[in-house]
Amino acid sequence: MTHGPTARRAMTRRVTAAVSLLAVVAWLPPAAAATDVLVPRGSTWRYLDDGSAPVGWQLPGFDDSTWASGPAQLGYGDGDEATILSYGPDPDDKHITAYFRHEFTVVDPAAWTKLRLRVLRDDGAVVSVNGVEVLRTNMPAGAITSTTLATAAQSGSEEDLFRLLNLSPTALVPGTNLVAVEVHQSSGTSSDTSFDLELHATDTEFVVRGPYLQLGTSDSVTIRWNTDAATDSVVRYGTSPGALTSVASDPATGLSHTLQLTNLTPDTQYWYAVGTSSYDLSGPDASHTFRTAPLVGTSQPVRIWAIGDSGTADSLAVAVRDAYEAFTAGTPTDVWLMLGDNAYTDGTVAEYVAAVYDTYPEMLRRTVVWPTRGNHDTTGAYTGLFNLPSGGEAGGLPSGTELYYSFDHANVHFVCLDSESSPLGVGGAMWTWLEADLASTAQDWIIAYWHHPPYTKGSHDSDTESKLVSMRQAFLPLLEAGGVDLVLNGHSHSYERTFLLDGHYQSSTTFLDSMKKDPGDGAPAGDGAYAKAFGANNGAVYAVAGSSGKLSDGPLDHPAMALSTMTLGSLVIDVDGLQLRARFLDDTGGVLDDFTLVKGDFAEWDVLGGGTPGVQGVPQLVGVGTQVAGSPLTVHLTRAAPGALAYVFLSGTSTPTPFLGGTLHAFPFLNSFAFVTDGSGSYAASATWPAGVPSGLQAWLQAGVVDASVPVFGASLSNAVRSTAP
Amino acid sequence: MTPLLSLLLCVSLSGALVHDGLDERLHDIAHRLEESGPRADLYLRRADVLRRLGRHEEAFADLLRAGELDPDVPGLGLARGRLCVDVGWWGAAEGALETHRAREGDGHEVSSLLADAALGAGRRADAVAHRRRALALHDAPPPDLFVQLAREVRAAAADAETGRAEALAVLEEGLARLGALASLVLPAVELDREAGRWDDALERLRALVDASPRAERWLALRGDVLAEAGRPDEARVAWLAARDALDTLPAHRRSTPLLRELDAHLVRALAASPVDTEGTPTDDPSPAEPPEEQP
Repeated sequence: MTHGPTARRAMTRRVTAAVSLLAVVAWLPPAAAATDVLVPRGSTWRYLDDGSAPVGWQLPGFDDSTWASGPAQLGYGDGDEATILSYGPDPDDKHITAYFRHEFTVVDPAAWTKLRLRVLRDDGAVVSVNGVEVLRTNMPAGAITSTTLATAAQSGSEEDLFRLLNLSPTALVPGTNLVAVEVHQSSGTSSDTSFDLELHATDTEFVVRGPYLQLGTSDSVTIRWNTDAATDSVVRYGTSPGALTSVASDPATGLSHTLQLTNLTPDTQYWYAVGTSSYDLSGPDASHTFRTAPLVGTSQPVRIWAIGDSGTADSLAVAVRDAYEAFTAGTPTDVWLMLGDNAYTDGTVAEYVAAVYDTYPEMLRRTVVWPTRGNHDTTGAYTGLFNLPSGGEAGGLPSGTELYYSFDHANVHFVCLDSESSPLGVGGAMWTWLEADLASTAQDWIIAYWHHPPYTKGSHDSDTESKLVSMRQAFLPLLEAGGVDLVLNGHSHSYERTFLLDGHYQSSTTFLDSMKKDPGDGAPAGDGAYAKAFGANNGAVYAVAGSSGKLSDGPLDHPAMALSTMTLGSLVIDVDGLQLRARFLDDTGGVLDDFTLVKGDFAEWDVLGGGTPGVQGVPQLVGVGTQVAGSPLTVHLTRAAPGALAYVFLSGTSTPTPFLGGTLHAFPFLNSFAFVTDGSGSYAASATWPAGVPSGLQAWLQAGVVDASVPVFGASLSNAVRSTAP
Repeated sequence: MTPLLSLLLCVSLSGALVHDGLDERLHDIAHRLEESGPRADLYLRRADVLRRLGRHEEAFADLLRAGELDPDVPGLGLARGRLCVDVGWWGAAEGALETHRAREGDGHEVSSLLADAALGAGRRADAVAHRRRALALHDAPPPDLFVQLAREVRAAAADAETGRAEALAVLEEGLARLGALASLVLPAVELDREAGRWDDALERLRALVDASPRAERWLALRGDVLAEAGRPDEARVAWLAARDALDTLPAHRRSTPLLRELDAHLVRALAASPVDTEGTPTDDPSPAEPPEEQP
């Protein structure tokens, strides 16, 4: 492959010059910069893995024609290799060293001022360019032979980190260049080895992280990126890819850059480029684009992607990502949720770079990510890497902390809780905030998410693990009373999804069928969609989606689950008006679960008028519950005369009839019963819905209340309610 | 949420349970130790996981080993202090933490642990001083830290009035730093009500009303405060406003348990504040009966 200063750079400069003639007000960069990829990841390498010790192998001109060749990653033992290396005949005495060579062509090294080399090595490596050693990583000083052991073993996420080195382009020559690498094991019994390398060149600064989108609202978005050298910060943006006519900038120089774009138009596509006041460093191109959120409360299609425990930075996470990218092609992702354990093992910045910024670079440029903290996000890096709405900037009540927050998108209210580090007790700050936040939202849908699942029998057990129990017992009653529809979690490395549930707060042994608001699978093509009435305690679906980067075993036998499977994948959720469809997409693109929630008043209780006022105004009659066999139903009467005799009339058909000065809908009577209201004028009657009621059967209820304050009739009449069996 | 339900939840949460996600971490660290050989930093990390699992003796052993391998490994004193706090060795905890502070500098976590140790040793005033320092050292203090300090200054105060005032000052500081958060406003309103600082309580509620797309709950609370303040006319106006706000909600939202409870509360409150036949509040000079219960 031949490399030189990119054509794109020249093209961008021409475009910029042309626009600058036309634009009087807009800021324009005097130049644009670009990065050239000299050796991409996944390149094909010549390699020697037979345990021998070649001489002069790192020099240009060495004859490697007898060596094998194959694409990176090269290695064994991790399952994510594109080329499997041999470790010899004895697994307890593996070859210590493997050798790699790759040639590439450069026209003019002087076109660049900087090279950036990144190498993935397990365990140690020595890198040479054109025969000169440029990097020694996790290897001892002194002479290196084929039996020299790496300094320390690598494990966990360390194996997936790319080590960074900045080089001078003087290391390169015009014409053919050579990168030669030897990778060493830390012992002959080491279970795995890995190698990959990339080499980039630029004449400016490198963007080493991002750009990535944060805190998106209907009129603003925050863009962040990091550079390898201090620069000022500029974002050029606009509603047409060829006309980035608006600018946000900060003259302060630094490595970390954050700019908020404000006064944007709702539900509008924007394109952007980030860089300095002198040139762009990343973008503009087709991947540097985002769409602002629609106005809050708007009803329109919303696509949500949820990944949990995705932070492995390996081929499994990549497979899940690629399956989703292929699935969603053509449908942009509006909301991206990360359910915790976003970067193994400790959530350090380096691990976040590998597991998030290097794993989802395109998605991060296009879609705002809203993470929650998992038990592996234990360092302070998490809060520093994200801008989250502690002040209610994106809707919802201010929480005062980025650890838990809420935001609105279209007609969906999202609640992110922190099950990792915030106090989980009833009455704590998060609990108090949540109660107020739920009482303040007016959105059609409520989706809550945090890391530790309230129900799981996967690689974790919600009956015995304290945080899981705390979240279930302290927060679920609040969420269900507040009308939550869908709860998403990670932690267990599997996919588990409940029936439509309500009221299950104790251990799994106490689970009752009556807690299923709908015992079906929720699939339109199966048992039918879950029909959920608006309001509280009408059921929520709980999904554990913690298999977006790894799998771990468990019994998978929680009785609340409609489906449990140990399969890699992610959850795709589509909200459109009053319908929510969720699909679990595995790492090959297969849909293993597909359920739908439909909200409305249709199957539950329609509130009709007809009432007449009494001493406390018109008595209010409200029905709660689903007309599913075995489900409890309750009829609440309020604002009636205190301590008064009252009747509830039940009718199977309705012929509205004038009565007590109002309209009696529950007529002709099928039945009636008498009761006495309490001191506040309230009464509640409960019953269990019988089996065998045909779908669509309707009933009308209405209450008459003896009330001496009412002239002429001496009684008031409540509104009527109509119930319809689903 | 009814008080009874809250109580039941508190009781049920107090049982001993195993911790979660920690076995996985333990396994990971053991694997690293196996591959890399003894490393002080890994023993330190394993000690912390063992501590969280309640395996204190093993945690102490790992800390000892870490100290033998590298007496200067960063965080050793902090880890010792944390472990000693967990097992209730208050004096030892304070010693370890002060050593850590002298060697590695101060931080909000060290000060928080010192506060816990002082509290455990029964020295409430010292605990408050340490907690205040933790708050001052925290770049982005979470609301819980203010709530906790408010509770502690109240408990440490010489008398109830001083305790209320100092707790309120802590919450005020939190509100100043973090904004009008419900998690700070509501406890502050409770303290205002206890102290009879009605106007302050009303002013705080005004901020919540302004910040909420749905304000019925805060309007009802405003009515309650006004009633307690002996301002029945205004209380009635607030309750009616709350009821109007409720009535503007679609029926499906009014049917939630929280709002049914709120509605019943408003009915009771309005019934205790009768109007004359002209539709205006009675001229009764006595304050309205306080509502039975805050929803």
